[in-house]
Amino acid sequence: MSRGQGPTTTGRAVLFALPAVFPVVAVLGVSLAAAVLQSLGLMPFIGPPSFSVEAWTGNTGELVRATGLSLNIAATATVLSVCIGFLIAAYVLASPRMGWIVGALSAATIPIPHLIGAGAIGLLLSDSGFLERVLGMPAAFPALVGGPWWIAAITEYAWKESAFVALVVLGSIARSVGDLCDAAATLGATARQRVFRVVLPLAMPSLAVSALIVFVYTLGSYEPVWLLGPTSPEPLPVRAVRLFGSVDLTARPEAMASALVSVAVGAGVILIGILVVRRSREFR
Amino acid sequence: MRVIAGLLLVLWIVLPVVPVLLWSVAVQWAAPAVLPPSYSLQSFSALAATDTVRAAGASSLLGVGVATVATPLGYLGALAIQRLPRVPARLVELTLLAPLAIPPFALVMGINVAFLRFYLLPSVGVVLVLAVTALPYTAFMFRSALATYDSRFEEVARSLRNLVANGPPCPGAPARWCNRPGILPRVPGGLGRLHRHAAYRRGAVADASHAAGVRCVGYRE
Repeated sequence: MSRGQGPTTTGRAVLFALPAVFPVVAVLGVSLAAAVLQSLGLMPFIGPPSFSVEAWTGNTGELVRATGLSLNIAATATVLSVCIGFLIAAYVLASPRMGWIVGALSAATIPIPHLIGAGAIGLLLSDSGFLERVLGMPAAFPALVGGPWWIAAITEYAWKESAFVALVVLGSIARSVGDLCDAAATLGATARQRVFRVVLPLAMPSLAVSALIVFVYTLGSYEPVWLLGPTSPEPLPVRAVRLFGSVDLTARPEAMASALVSVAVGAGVILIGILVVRRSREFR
Repeated sequence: MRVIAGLLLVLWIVLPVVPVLLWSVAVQWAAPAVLPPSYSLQSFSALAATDTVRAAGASSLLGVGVATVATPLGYLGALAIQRLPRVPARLVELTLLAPLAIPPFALVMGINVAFLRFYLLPSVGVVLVLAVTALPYTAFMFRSALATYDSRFEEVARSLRNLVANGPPCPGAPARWCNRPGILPRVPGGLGRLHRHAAYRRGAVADASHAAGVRCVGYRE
Protein backbone atom coordinates (compact mmCIF):
# COMPACT_ATOMS: atom_id res chain seq x y z
CA MET A 1 0.00 0.00 0.00
CA SER A 2 2.30 2.72 -1.19
CA ARG A 3 1.58 6.38 -1.78
CA GLY A 4 -0.34 7.24 -4.99
CA GLN A 5 -0.05 3.96 -6.88
CA GLY A 6 -2.15 5.08 -9.80
CA PRO A 7 -5.23 6.98 -10.84
CA THR A 8 -7.60 4.32 -9.42
CA THR A 9 -5.88 4.26 -6.02
CA THR A 10 -5.73 8.05 -5.92
CA GLY A 11 -9.39 8.30 -6.91
CA ARG A 12 -10.36 5.91 -4.16
CA ALA A 13 -8.21 7.83 -1.67
CA VAL A 14 -10.02 11.05 -2.63
CA LEU A 15 -13.34 9.28 -1.95
CA PHE A 16 -11.96 8.24 1.45
CA ALA A 17 -10.91 11.82 2.20
CA LEU A 18 -14.23 13.46 1.31
CA PRO A 19 -16.41 12.28 4.24
CA ALA A 20 -13.74 13.45 6.70
CA VAL A 21 -12.76 16.69 4.98
CA PHE A 22 -16.25 17.89 4.05
CA PRO A 23 -17.69 18.29 7.60
CA VAL A 24 -14.52 20.04 8.77
CA VAL A 25 -14.49 22.48 5.86
CA ALA A 26 -18.25 23.05 6.15
CA VAL A 27 -18.31 23.68 9.91
CA LEU A 28 -15.11 25.75 9.98
CA GLY A 29 -16.02 27.69 6.84
CA VAL A 30 -19.58 28.48 7.92
CA SER A 31 -18.47 29.31 11.46
CA LEU A 32 -15.65 31.67 10.46
CA ALA A 33 -17.67 33.31 7.67
CA ALA A 34 -20.63 33.82 10.01
CA ALA A 35 -18.31 35.24 12.69
CA VAL A 36 -16.77 37.72 10.21
CA LEU A 37 -20.20 38.75 8.92
CA GLN A 38 -21.54 39.16 12.46
CA SER A 39 -18.50 41.17 13.56
CA LEU A 40 -19.21 43.55 10.66
CA GLY A 41 -22.92 43.80 11.49
CA LEU A 42 -23.94 42.01 8.27
CA MET A 43 -25.58 39.03 9.98
CA PRO A 44 -27.32 40.43 13.06
CA PHE A 45 -29.21 38.19 15.51
CA ILE A 46 -32.25 40.43 15.02
CA GLY A 47 -32.94 43.48 12.88
CA PRO A 48 -31.71 44.51 9.43
CA PRO A 49 -28.02 44.12 8.54
CA SER A 50 -25.92 47.28 8.48
CA PHE A 51 -22.18 47.36 7.77
CA SER A 52 -20.00 48.72 10.59
CA VAL A 53 -16.40 48.24 11.78
CA GLU A 54 -17.27 49.60 15.21
CA ALA A 55 -16.71 46.17 16.84
CA TRP A 56 -13.09 46.21 15.61
CA THR A 57 -12.19 49.85 16.07
CA GLY A 58 -14.51 50.96 18.89
CA ASN A 59 -12.62 49.44 21.79
CA THR A 60 -9.20 48.58 20.36
CA GLY A 61 -7.39 49.18 23.65
CA GLU A 62 -9.43 46.57 25.47
CA LEU A 63 -9.07 44.08 22.61
CA VAL A 64 -5.28 44.52 22.58
CA ARG A 65 -5.10 44.22 26.39
CA ALA A 66 -7.19 41.03 26.32
CA THR A 67 -4.95 39.58 23.60
CA GLY A 68 -1.79 40.40 25.54
CA LEU A 69 -3.20 38.88 28.72
CA SER A 70 -4.27 35.69 26.90
CA LEU A 71 -0.81 35.36 25.32
CA ASN A 72 0.85 35.84 28.73
CA ILE A 73 -1.29 33.24 30.46
CA ALA A 74 -0.85 30.75 27.61
CA ALA A 75 2.94 31.27 27.45
CA THR A 76 3.45 30.88 31.22
CA ALA A 77 1.19 27.82 31.38
CA THR A 78 2.97 26.25 28.38
CA VAL A 79 6.47 26.75 29.84
CA LEU A 80 5.39 25.24 33.18
CA SER A 81 3.53 22.34 31.53
CA VAL A 82 6.47 21.45 29.30
CA CYS A 83 9.02 21.60 32.17
CA ILE A 84 6.89 19.59 34.63
CA GLY A 85 5.70 17.21 31.92
CA PHE A 86 9.29 16.49 30.92
CA LEU A 87 10.25 15.94 34.58
CA ILE A 88 7.40 13.44 34.97
CA ALA A 89 8.42 11.62 31.77
CA ALA A 90 12.11 11.56 32.74
CA TYR A 91 11.23 10.28 36.21
CA VAL A 92 9.01 7.51 34.79
CA LEU A 93 11.86 6.43 32.51
CA ALA A 94 14.55 6.70 35.20
CA SER A 95 12.91 4.88 38.12
CA PRO A 96 11.14 1.67 37.17
CA ARG A 97 9.03 1.03 40.30
CA MET A 98 8.17 4.50 41.68
CA GLY A 99 8.13 5.78 38.07
CA TRP A 100 5.33 3.38 37.24
CA ILE A 101 3.20 4.87 40.05
CA VAL A 102 3.96 8.45 38.96
CA GLY A 103 3.18 7.58 35.32
CA ALA A 104 -0.10 5.85 36.17
CA LEU A 105 -1.27 8.68 38.47
CA SER A 106 -0.32 11.29 35.90
CA ALA A 107 -2.15 9.46 33.10
CA ALA A 108 -5.20 9.08 35.37
CA THR A 109 -5.63 12.88 35.52
CA ILE A 110 -5.92 13.20 31.73
CA PRO A 111 -9.64 12.29 31.47
CA ILE A 112 -10.54 14.89 34.14
CA PRO A 113 -12.26 17.79 32.32
CA HIS A 114 -10.69 21.25 32.70
CA LEU A 115 -13.85 22.51 34.38
CA ILE A 116 -13.54 19.90 37.15
CA GLY A 117 -9.80 20.59 37.32
CA ALA A 118 -10.53 24.28 37.77
CA GLY A 119 -12.98 23.48 40.57
CA ALA A 120 -10.39 21.26 42.25
CA ILE A 121 -7.66 23.91 42.03
CA GLY A 122 -10.16 26.45 43.36
CA LEU A 123 -10.87 24.29 46.44
CA LEU A 124 -7.12 23.85 46.91
CA LEU A 125 -5.82 27.40 46.44
CA SER A 126 -8.71 29.72 47.37
CA ASP A 127 -8.89 31.83 50.52
CA SER A 128 -9.32 29.40 53.47
CA GLY A 129 -8.99 26.58 50.92
CA PHE A 130 -7.27 23.27 51.60
CA LEU A 131 -3.70 24.56 51.15
CA GLU A 132 -4.21 27.56 53.45
CA ARG A 133 -5.72 25.26 56.10
CA VAL A 134 -2.81 22.82 55.83
CA LEU A 135 -0.38 25.74 56.24
CA GLY A 136 -2.21 26.83 59.41
CA MET A 137 -4.12 29.82 57.96
CA PRO A 138 -1.16 32.26 57.69
CA ALA A 139 -2.20 35.94 57.58
CA ALA A 140 0.07 36.57 54.59
CA PHE A 141 -1.51 33.90 52.37
CA PRO A 142 -1.62 35.51 48.89
CA ALA A 143 -4.74 35.82 46.76
CA LEU A 144 -4.08 32.92 44.38
CA VAL A 145 -7.66 32.58 43.13
CA GLY A 146 -8.90 35.80 41.54
CA GLY A 147 -5.57 37.52 42.27
CA PRO A 148 -3.73 39.80 39.88
CA TRP A 149 -1.20 37.15 38.76
CA TRP A 150 -3.64 34.51 37.55
CA ILE A 151 -1.73 31.94 39.62
CA ALA A 152 -4.64 29.53 40.20
CA ALA A 153 -5.65 29.51 36.52
CA ILE A 154 -2.04 29.01 35.36
CA THR A 155 -1.57 26.26 37.98
CA GLU A 156 -4.68 24.48 36.69
CA TYR A 157 -3.38 24.56 33.11
CA ALA A 158 0.07 23.42 34.22
CA TRP A 159 -1.45 20.59 36.31
CA LYS A 160 -3.65 19.23 33.50
CA GLU A 161 -1.32 19.87 30.59
CA SER A 162 1.88 18.57 32.22
CA ALA A 163 0.20 15.15 32.35
CA PHE A 164 -0.58 15.51 28.64
CA VAL A 165 3.01 16.52 27.81
CA ALA A 166 4.35 13.57 29.84
CA LEU A 167 2.02 11.18 28.01
CA VAL A 168 3.07 12.45 24.58
CA VAL A 169 6.79 12.37 25.42
CA LEU A 170 6.59 8.89 26.94
CA GLY A 171 4.59 7.59 23.99
CA SER A 172 7.12 8.87 21.50
CA ILE A 173 10.43 7.92 23.13
CA ALA A 174 9.68 5.06 25.56
CA ARG A 175 10.75 2.41 23.05
CA SER A 176 13.98 3.95 21.81
CA VAL A 177 15.30 5.53 24.98
CA GLY A 178 15.97 2.38 27.03
CA ASP A 179 18.88 1.01 24.99
CA LEU A 180 20.48 4.43 24.58
CA CYS A 181 20.28 5.12 28.33
CA ASP A 182 21.76 1.69 29.03
CA ALA A 183 24.59 2.43 26.59
CA ALA A 184 25.20 5.84 28.19
CA ALA A 185 25.16 4.30 31.67
CA THR A 186 27.68 1.65 30.55
CA LEU A 187 29.90 4.45 29.27
CA GLY A 188 29.76 6.06 32.71
CA ALA A 189 27.05 8.71 32.32
CA THR A 190 25.40 9.78 35.57
CA ALA A 191 21.61 9.86 35.96
CA ARG A 192 21.57 13.64 35.40
CA GLN A 193 23.72 13.31 32.27
CA ARG A 194 21.43 10.59 30.94
CA VAL A 195 18.38 12.81 31.47
CA PHE A 196 19.86 15.94 29.89
CA ARG A 197 22.13 14.41 27.23
CA VAL A 198 20.04 11.44 26.10
CA VAL A 199 16.39 11.77 27.13
CA LEU A 200 16.03 15.53 26.52
CA PRO A 201 17.40 15.57 22.94
CA LEU A 202 15.26 12.54 22.06
CA ALA A 203 12.19 14.20 23.58
CA MET A 204 12.69 17.57 21.85
CA PRO A 205 10.41 16.94 18.84
CA SER A 206 7.53 15.65 20.96
CA LEU A 207 8.09 18.45 23.50
CA ALA A 208 7.91 21.05 20.72
CA VAL A 209 4.73 19.62 19.23
CA SER A 210 3.01 19.22 22.60
CA ALA A 211 4.09 22.75 23.61
CA LEU A 212 2.41 24.06 20.47
CA ILE A 213 -0.79 22.13 21.22
CA VAL A 214 -0.80 23.24 24.88
CA PHE A 215 -0.24 26.88 23.93
CA VAL A 216 -3.04 26.97 21.39
CA TYR A 217 -5.38 25.06 23.69
CA THR A 218 -4.66 27.34 26.65
CA LEU A 219 -5.09 30.43 24.49
CA GLY A 220 -8.60 29.38 23.52
CA SER A 221 -9.66 27.77 26.78
CA TYR A 222 -12.46 29.44 28.70
CA GLU A 223 -13.45 27.65 31.93
CA PRO A 224 -10.28 27.88 34.11
CA VAL A 225 -9.64 31.58 33.43
CA TRP A 226 -13.31 32.37 33.94
CA LEU A 227 -13.57 30.43 37.20
CA LEU A 228 -10.16 31.16 38.76
CA GLY A 229 -9.14 34.54 37.37
CA PRO A 230 -10.04 38.08 38.48
CA THR A 231 -13.06 39.73 36.85
CA SER A 232 -10.86 42.41 35.28
CA PRO A 233 -8.83 42.52 33.04
CA GLU A 234 -10.39 39.81 30.90
CA PRO A 235 -8.57 37.38 28.62
CA LEU A 236 -9.98 36.94 25.08
CA PRO A 237 -12.20 33.88 25.66
CA VAL A 238 -13.82 35.35 28.79
CA ARG A 239 -14.43 38.66 27.04
CA ALA A 240 -15.90 36.96 23.98
CA VAL A 241 -18.23 34.67 25.93
CA ARG A 242 -19.36 37.50 28.24
CA LEU A 243 -20.22 39.74 25.29
CA PHE A 244 -21.85 36.83 23.44
CA GLY A 245 -24.15 36.07 26.38
CA SER A 246 -24.86 39.73 27.10
CA VAL A 247 -28.51 40.80 27.25
CA ASP A 248 -27.47 43.62 24.94
CA LEU A 249 -27.65 41.91 21.54
CA THR A 250 -25.66 44.76 19.98
CA ALA A 251 -22.61 43.42 21.86
CA ARG A 252 -22.57 40.37 19.53
CA PRO A 253 -20.30 41.97 16.87
CA GLU A 254 -17.71 42.77 19.58
CA ALA A 255 -17.94 39.17 20.83
CA MET A 256 -17.28 37.93 17.30
CA ALA A 257 -14.31 40.30 16.91
CA SER A 258 -12.77 38.91 20.14
CA ALA A 259 -13.37 35.33 18.97
CA LEU A 260 -11.82 36.06 15.57
CA VAL A 261 -8.76 37.67 17.17
CA SER A 262 -8.22 34.52 19.24
CA VAL A 263 -8.60 32.37 16.09
CA ALA A 264 -6.08 34.56 14.25
CA VAL A 265 -3.57 34.51 17.13
CA GLY A 266 -3.92 30.71 17.45
CA ALA A 267 -3.43 30.19 13.71
CA GLY A 268 -0.45 32.57 13.68
CA VAL A 269 1.20 30.75 16.59
CA ILE A 270 0.70 27.38 14.87
CA LEU A 271 2.21 28.67 11.62
CA ILE A 272 5.23 30.14 13.44
CA GLY A 273 5.56 26.93 15.45
CA ILE A 274 5.53 24.74 12.34
CA LEU A 275 8.13 26.98 10.66
CA VAL A 276 10.40 26.92 13.71
CA VAL A 277 10.06 23.14 14.08
CA ARG A 278 10.86 22.65 10.39
CA ARG A 279 13.83 25.00 10.40
CA SER A 280 15.65 23.52 13.36
CA ARG A 281 17.86 20.63 12.49
CA GLU A 282 17.08 18.73 15.66
CA PHE A 283 13.53 18.07 14.57
CA ARG A 284 14.25 16.74 11.11
CA MET B 1 17.05 12.29 46.30
CA ARG B 2 15.22 10.23 43.72
CA VAL B 3 12.56 9.24 46.25
CA ILE B 4 12.03 12.89 47.22
CA ALA B 5 11.63 13.85 43.57
CA GLY B 6 9.11 11.04 43.12
CA LEU B 7 7.13 12.10 46.19
CA LEU B 8 7.08 15.73 45.00
CA LEU B 9 5.75 14.63 41.62
CA VAL B 10 3.08 12.44 43.27
CA LEU B 11 2.14 15.41 45.47
CA TRP B 12 1.86 17.66 42.39
CA ILE B 13 -0.41 15.15 40.66
CA VAL B 14 -2.57 14.10 43.63
CA LEU B 15 -2.89 17.26 45.77
CA PRO B 16 -5.56 19.05 43.67
CA VAL B 17 -7.79 15.97 43.82
CA VAL B 18 -7.60 15.66 47.64
CA PRO B 19 -9.96 18.56 48.55
CA VAL B 20 -12.50 17.35 45.97
CA LEU B 21 -12.50 13.86 47.49
CA LEU B 22 -12.69 15.24 51.05
CA TRP B 23 -15.51 17.66 50.19
CA SER B 24 -17.49 14.82 48.60
CA VAL B 25 -17.64 12.93 51.93
CA ALA B 26 -17.62 15.92 54.34
CA VAL B 27 -20.77 16.86 56.22
CA GLN B 28 -19.63 20.33 57.24
CA TRP B 29 -16.10 21.60 56.89
CA ALA B 30 -15.58 25.10 58.28
CA ALA B 31 -12.44 27.13 57.71
CA PRO B 32 -9.59 26.42 60.11
CA ALA B 33 -10.19 22.63 60.21
CA VAL B 34 -7.66 20.80 58.04
CA LEU B 35 -9.87 17.70 57.82
CA PRO B 36 -13.69 17.49 57.93
CA PRO B 37 -14.96 16.85 61.51
CA SER B 38 -17.47 14.24 60.33
CA TYR B 39 -17.96 12.17 57.22
CA SER B 40 -20.99 10.92 55.33
CA LEU B 41 -21.79 9.43 51.93
CA GLN B 42 -25.01 11.43 51.79
CA SER B 43 -23.86 13.72 48.98
CA PHE B 44 -23.49 10.67 46.74
CA SER B 45 -27.27 10.17 46.93
CA ALA B 46 -27.46 13.10 44.52
CA LEU B 47 -26.08 10.71 41.90
CA ALA B 48 -29.38 8.81 41.96
CA ALA B 49 -31.49 11.97 41.49
CA THR B 50 -33.56 11.99 38.30
CA ASP B 51 -31.85 15.12 36.99
CA THR B 52 -28.38 13.67 37.44
CA VAL B 53 -29.35 10.39 35.78
CA ARG B 54 -30.96 12.25 32.89
CA ALA B 55 -27.91 14.49 32.48
CA ALA B 56 -25.56 11.50 32.59
CA GLY B 57 -27.74 9.75 30.01
CA ALA B 58 -27.70 12.79 27.72
CA SER B 59 -23.91 13.17 28.07
CA SER B 60 -23.34 9.47 27.33
CA LEU B 61 -25.63 9.59 24.32
CA LEU B 62 -23.80 12.65 23.02
CA GLY B 63 -20.43 10.96 23.58
CA VAL B 64 -21.54 7.78 21.80
CA GLY B 65 -23.04 9.81 18.94
CA VAL B 66 -19.88 11.87 18.44
CA ALA B 67 -17.63 8.79 18.66
CA THR B 68 -19.84 6.92 16.18
CA VAL B 69 -19.49 9.77 13.68
CA ALA B 70 -15.89 10.82 14.31
CA THR B 71 -14.21 7.39 14.53
CA PRO B 72 -15.07 6.04 11.05
CA LEU B 73 -14.52 9.47 9.50
CA GLY B 74 -11.12 9.70 11.19
CA TYR B 75 -10.24 6.25 9.87
CA LEU B 76 -11.20 7.25 6.33
CA GLY B 77 -9.20 10.48 6.65
CA ALA B 78 -6.14 8.57 7.88
CA LEU B 79 -6.43 6.07 5.00
CA ALA B 80 -6.70 8.96 2.54
CA ILE B 81 -3.61 10.66 3.99
CA GLN B 82 -1.66 7.44 3.62
CA ARG B 83 -2.79 6.69 0.06
CA LEU B 84 -2.95 10.13 -1.59
CA PRO B 85 0.07 11.64 -3.38
CA ARG B 86 2.20 13.85 -1.13
CA VAL B 87 0.72 17.32 -1.76
CA PRO B 88 -2.99 16.43 -1.53
CA ALA B 89 -2.19 14.23 1.48
CA ARG B 90 -0.59 17.24 3.17
CA LEU B 91 -3.69 19.33 2.40
CA VAL B 92 -6.03 16.72 3.87
CA GLU B 93 -3.76 16.46 6.91
CA LEU B 94 -3.80 20.23 7.51
CA THR B 95 -7.58 20.40 7.03
CA LEU B 96 -8.18 17.62 9.53
CA LEU B 97 -5.83 19.34 12.03
CA ALA B 98 -7.44 22.77 11.57
CA PRO B 99 -10.15 22.33 14.26
CA LEU B 100 -7.34 22.14 16.85
CA ALA B 101 -6.30 25.68 15.98
CA ILE B 102 -9.75 27.17 16.49
CA PRO B 103 -10.91 27.70 20.07
CA PRO B 104 -14.14 25.77 20.64
CA PHE B 105 -15.95 28.86 21.93
CA ALA B 106 -15.11 30.78 18.72
CA LEU B 107 -16.31 27.87 16.57
CA VAL B 108 -19.63 27.64 18.41
CA MET B 109 -20.25 31.38 18.62
CA GLY B 110 -19.79 31.81 14.89
CA ILE B 111 -21.93 28.89 13.86
CA ASN B 112 -24.77 29.55 16.32
CA VAL B 113 -26.67 32.04 14.15
CA ALA B 114 -25.87 30.10 10.96
CA PHE B 115 -27.39 26.88 12.37
CA LEU B 116 -30.46 28.85 13.47
CA ARG B 117 -30.88 30.16 9.91
CA PHE B 118 -30.44 26.64 8.42
CA TYR B 119 -33.16 25.33 10.82
CA LEU B 120 -30.74 22.58 11.87
CA LEU B 121 -31.93 20.33 14.72
CA PRO B 122 -30.01 21.38 17.86
CA SER B 123 -28.90 17.81 18.65
CA VAL B 124 -27.61 17.32 15.09
CA GLY B 125 -25.75 20.64 15.26
CA VAL B 126 -24.09 19.77 18.57
CA VAL B 127 -23.02 16.31 17.35
CA LEU B 128 -21.70 17.82 14.10
CA VAL B 129 -19.61 20.50 15.84
CA LEU B 130 -18.29 18.07 18.45
CA ALA B 131 -17.48 15.48 15.78
CA VAL B 132 -15.49 18.09 13.86
CA THR B 133 -13.52 18.98 17.01
CA ALA B 134 -12.93 15.25 17.66
CA LEU B 135 -11.78 14.47 14.09
CA PRO B 136 -8.16 15.64 14.55
CA TYR B 137 -7.78 13.14 17.39
CA THR B 138 -9.41 10.14 15.69
CA ALA B 139 -7.68 10.82 12.36
CA PHE B 140 -4.23 11.12 13.93
CA MET B 141 -4.68 8.14 16.24
CA PHE B 142 -5.50 6.03 13.16
CA ARG B 143 -2.70 7.69 11.25
CA SER B 144 -0.04 6.71 13.76
CA ALA B 145 -1.56 3.23 13.97
CA LEU B 146 -1.43 2.89 10.17
CA ALA B 147 2.15 4.17 10.10
CA THR B 148 3.33 1.13 12.06
CA TYR B 149 1.14 -1.16 9.95
CA ASP B 150 3.20 -3.21 7.54
CA SER B 151 1.54 -3.33 4.13
CA ARG B 152 3.10 -6.76 3.63
CA PHE B 153 0.41 -8.11 5.97
CA GLU B 154 -2.09 -7.20 3.31
CA GLU B 155 -0.05 -8.98 0.64
CA VAL B 156 0.21 -12.02 2.86
CA ALA B 157 -3.53 -11.98 3.54
CA ARG B 158 -4.15 -11.79 -0.20
CA SER B 159 -1.66 -14.59 -0.76
CA LEU B 160 -3.28 -16.74 1.89
CA ARG B 161 -6.60 -16.31 0.16
CA ASN B 162 -4.96 -17.42 -3.07
CA LEU B 163 -3.35 -20.26 -1.18
CA VAL B 164 -6.75 -21.56 -0.17
CA ALA B 165 -8.10 -21.03 -3.67
CA ASN B 166 -5.16 -22.41 -5.66
CA GLY B 167 -3.23 -24.66 -3.33
CA PRO B 168 0.22 -24.09 -1.91
CA PRO B 169 3.33 -23.42 -3.89
CA CYS B 170 5.46 -24.79 -1.09
CA PRO B 171 7.85 -27.69 -1.26
CA GLY B 172 6.24 -30.86 -0.06
CA ALA B 173 2.88 -30.12 -1.58
CA PRO B 174 1.29 -32.86 -3.66
CA ALA B 175 2.81 -32.99 -7.10
CA ARG B 176 -0.50 -32.30 -8.82
CA TRP B 177 -0.57 -28.82 -7.25
CA CYS B 178 2.85 -27.86 -8.47
CA ASN B 179 3.40 -25.66 -11.44
CA ARG B 180 4.67 -28.35 -13.76
CA PRO B 181 4.55 -28.42 -17.52
CA GLY B 182 1.33 -30.22 -18.25
CA ILE B 183 -1.38 -30.31 -20.71
CA LEU B 184 -3.43 -27.41 -19.42
CA PRO B 185 -0.91 -24.59 -20.04
CA ARG B 186 -0.72 -25.64 -23.62
CA VAL B 187 -4.45 -25.66 -24.12
CA PRO B 188 -5.30 -22.66 -26.25
CA GLY B 189 -8.05 -20.33 -25.11
CA GLY B 190 -9.72 -19.74 -21.79
CA LEU B 191 -8.88 -22.89 -19.86
CA GLY B 192 -5.16 -22.61 -20.62
CA ARG B 193 -5.13 -18.93 -19.77
CA LEU B 194 -6.85 -19.74 -16.51
CA HIS B 195 -4.23 -22.30 -15.63
CA ARG B 196 -1.36 -20.01 -16.59
CA HIS B 197 -2.92 -17.26 -14.51
CA ALA B 198 -3.28 -19.59 -11.51
CA ALA B 199 0.33 -20.69 -11.88
CA TYR B 200 1.42 -17.07 -12.04
CA ARG B 201 -0.55 -16.26 -8.92
CA ARG B 202 0.96 -19.19 -7.09
CA GLY B 203 4.40 -17.83 -7.90
CA ALA B 204 3.33 -14.44 -6.52
CA VAL B 205 2.08 -16.17 -3.37
CA ALA B 206 5.47 -17.73 -2.81
CA ASP B 207 7.26 -14.41 -3.33
CA ALA B 208 4.96 -12.48 -0.99
CA SER B 209 5.04 -15.16 1.70
CA HIS B 210 8.79 -15.30 1.44
CA ALA B 211 9.10 -11.50 1.57
CA ALA B 212 7.00 -11.33 4.73
CA GLY B 213 8.85 -14.21 6.30
CA VAL B 214 5.71 -16.33 6.43
CA ARG B 215 6.19 -20.04 6.16
CA CYS B 216 3.62 -22.29 4.68
CA VAL B 217 1.67 -23.60 7.62
CA GLY B 218 -0.72 -26.08 6.04
CA TYR B 219 -1.94 -27.48 2.80
CA ARG B 220 -5.34 -27.98 1.43
CA GLU B 221 -5.94 -31.64 0.89
